[in-house]
Amino acid sequence: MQKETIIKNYLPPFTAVLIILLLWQISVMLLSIESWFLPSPVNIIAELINSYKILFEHSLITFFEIIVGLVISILISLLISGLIFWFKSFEKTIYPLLITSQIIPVFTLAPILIVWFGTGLFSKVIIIVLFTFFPLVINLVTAIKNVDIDMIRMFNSHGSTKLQMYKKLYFPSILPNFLSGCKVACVISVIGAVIGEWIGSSSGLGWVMKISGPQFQTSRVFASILCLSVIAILLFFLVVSIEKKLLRKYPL
Amino acid sequence: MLKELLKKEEQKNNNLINIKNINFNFYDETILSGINLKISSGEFVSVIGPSGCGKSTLLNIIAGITKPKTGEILVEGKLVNIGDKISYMQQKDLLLPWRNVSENAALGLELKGFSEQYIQDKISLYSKDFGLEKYLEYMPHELSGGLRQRVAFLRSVIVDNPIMLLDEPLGSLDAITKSTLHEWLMKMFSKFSKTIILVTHDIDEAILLANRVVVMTTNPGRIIKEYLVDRKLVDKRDITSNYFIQLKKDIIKDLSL
Repeated sequence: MQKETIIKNYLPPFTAVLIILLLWQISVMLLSIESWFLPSPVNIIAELINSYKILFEHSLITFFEIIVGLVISILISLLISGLIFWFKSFEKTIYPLLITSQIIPVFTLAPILIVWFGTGLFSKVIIIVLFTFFPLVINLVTAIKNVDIDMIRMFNSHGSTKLQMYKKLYFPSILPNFLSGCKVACVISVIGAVIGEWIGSSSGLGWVMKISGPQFQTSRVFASILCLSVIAILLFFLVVSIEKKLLRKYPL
Repeated sequence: MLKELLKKEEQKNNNLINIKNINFNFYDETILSGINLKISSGEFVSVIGPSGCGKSTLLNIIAGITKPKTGEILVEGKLVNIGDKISYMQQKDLLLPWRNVSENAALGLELKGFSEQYIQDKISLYSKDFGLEKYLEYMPHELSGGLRQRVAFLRSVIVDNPIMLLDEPLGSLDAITKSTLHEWLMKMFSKFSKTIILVTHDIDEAILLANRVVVMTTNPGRIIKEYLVDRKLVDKRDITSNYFIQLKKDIIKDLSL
């Protein structure tokens, strides 16, 4: 990338963040706000450095839960959209259930899931899956339905087999939508993990936040939020880099 | 002597495509009723008719991608697998946006399972005739409508099927591009000696390109008339000759019945 484009692309958001942080720091200092009420950015960074061991340890736990949850979620969504694609009646059967699963606030389900599946990894993974599979399925099903009927005809008129059509038409057509579904899923999976850890756990960033709040370790809460954001951003850019690689092969 | 004569006579009657008694319904509505058409090798047949007369459906049936209610399509007297003898080109160019020109042109051959080397050789051979050798690395969105359509033609022609079905392939192009492509098309088809069925609603196009014009009508879709076009009397550019105008008048009369 050209130096100029880098500056053009990254300078505005970078400046905006910098200005917000500066304003924050200055107001905390000028209004002499106590750090248990609202820590300044400098306080948060100090906390991050002081307790990096705890934060890193629990970040890894949360990160692991998210990865497992996302992978399972992607597999489930591929299965469901595949079934919807192959069996027309399955769509009618599953759609009301899918919608219902989204109407019930997952937050209210979390305590029940903890009762059923314990406070281990499994209950968190289920919560993450419940959070993330819906946008994945919706994106996939929409993409499958949007494959141009005339393209399908064109493939058929060449005597294409089903497998050839999946590989050469469906896969590349669906890819962009699938990846944008993945991006959404990455970001919201973090929420799922935190909820799971908040309600029943003795580890993970959600748990760190939950126990730090009542102890007025506000800067640790903020530091945890920062770690969560980093996880979300990392995951997001992971998908973006996969996207760039794949779309170089199948550009649109 | 007699045997040879008989053989010659047989060849004369030997139709490349035999469209036998095609009927097609869409729910309760009859779309096509009793379509019979014999086309011999090297013919260029235009099928013309009002919209809704089922001419595109007829092409889908000939291509094998739509099953008729009754009837069959025979090529050299036999039923054939989809894509084995017949290439089908639709109105939209249907280029895959994630493939460049050469990869798009290769699709038909790829689906038939030819080796990469064979496909590459064939594309470099054909792309010269199609004036596409400069564009092989281009993506579809970088090409003009006329060029895109040419790539679609290349994709259809390169599989070497003797029969080509064209569903208003120039319908989406502007008049100037259309007329240059007309001439070019005629050149290509005679060069690759194809038998062609063209579906169109443009009467000029139907007469200019074909040596037989089949007129269809609607409700239900059926063939009402056929005209043989004397190619010697139709100049590619001249749509004002008496012969052309008379033919056009006759067809318009048929269509307005």
